Amino acid sequence: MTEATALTSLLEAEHAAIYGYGVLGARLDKPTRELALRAFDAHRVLRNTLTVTLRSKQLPTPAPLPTYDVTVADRLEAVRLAVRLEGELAVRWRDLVGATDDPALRKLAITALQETAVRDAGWRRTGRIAPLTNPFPGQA
Amino acid sequence: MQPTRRTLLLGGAVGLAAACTPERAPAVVSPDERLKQRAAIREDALLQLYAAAAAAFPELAARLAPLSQDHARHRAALGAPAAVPTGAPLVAATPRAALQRLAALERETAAGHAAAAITASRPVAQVLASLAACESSHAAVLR
Repeated sequence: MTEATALTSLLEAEHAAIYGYGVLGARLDKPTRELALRAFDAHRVLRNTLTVTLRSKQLPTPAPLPTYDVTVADRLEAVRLAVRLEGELAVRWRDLVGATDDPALRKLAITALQETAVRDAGWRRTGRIAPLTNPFPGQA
Repeated sequence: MQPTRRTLLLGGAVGLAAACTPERAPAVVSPDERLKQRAAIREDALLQLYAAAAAAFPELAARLAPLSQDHARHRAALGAPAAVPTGAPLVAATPRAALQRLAALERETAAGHAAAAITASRPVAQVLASLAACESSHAAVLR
C-alpha cells in the first residue's frame, strides 16, 4: 500500500466515522453520549489533519458521501456501531504506519491508533462486550 | 631508529585503545532486533507486575488475567522466548494502588513502544504501534 492510498482511505473512513457518530449519538443516554461527543470531536480533528496532509502533498481530498448505510435502533446497536467504526479505523491507521517512513506521519498514525484502541475499549466497557481489549489493535 | 617522544606517546595511545576494545566483538544485532528486544524487556516488566499484583490481591486476579494474557501474546509476537513471570514483590498497599501502578507502567510501556515504532522498519513499526495501542487501552480499562 502506498502512503497516498493509506491517507486517502483514512480520510474516507474518518468521514464515515463522523457520520456514524452523529447517528449513534442520538441513541445514547446522557453519560454515554459524552463519550460519543468526545469521539466525534476527535474524528473531526483527524479528518482536518488528513485533509491538510493530503493537500500539502497535492493529492485529492475525497468529500464525504451524501449518506452512509447506517441504522441504529437502540443503545446496544449504537455501542456496537461505535466499536465497529473504531475497529475499522484502527486497521487503516495501522496501514499508514506501514506505508510511510516520514516520522511526522508515523507519529500521527501511531497516536491515532492508540486513541482508537482507547475508544474501542471504552465502548466495549460501556456495552459490556468481551473481550474489553484487543492484543493487536488494527491487525486485520 | 630511535623512538622519539611523539612515537612513544602515539604507541601508548594505540595500546590504550586496544586495551579498551572488547576481546570479542559483540554479536551484530540489527536495529529492528534491538528495538524488539527492548520492547520484550518492557513486556516482561509488565508481566512481572501483573503477576505480583494478582498474587498480592487475589480479588483482582480475574480482572487482570486477560490483560496479562495480552502481554504474553505481545512477547510471542516480538519473538522473545517464553518466560515464566516470577512475580517480583509489589509495593502497593491497596488493590486500588496496585491498579494505579499497573496503569502507570502500561502508559510508560505504550510510550516506549510508540517511540520505537517511529524509527523501526515498516513491518516492525506496525507491530510496535499495535502493542502501544493495546497498552494504552489497558491503561484506560485499569482506571
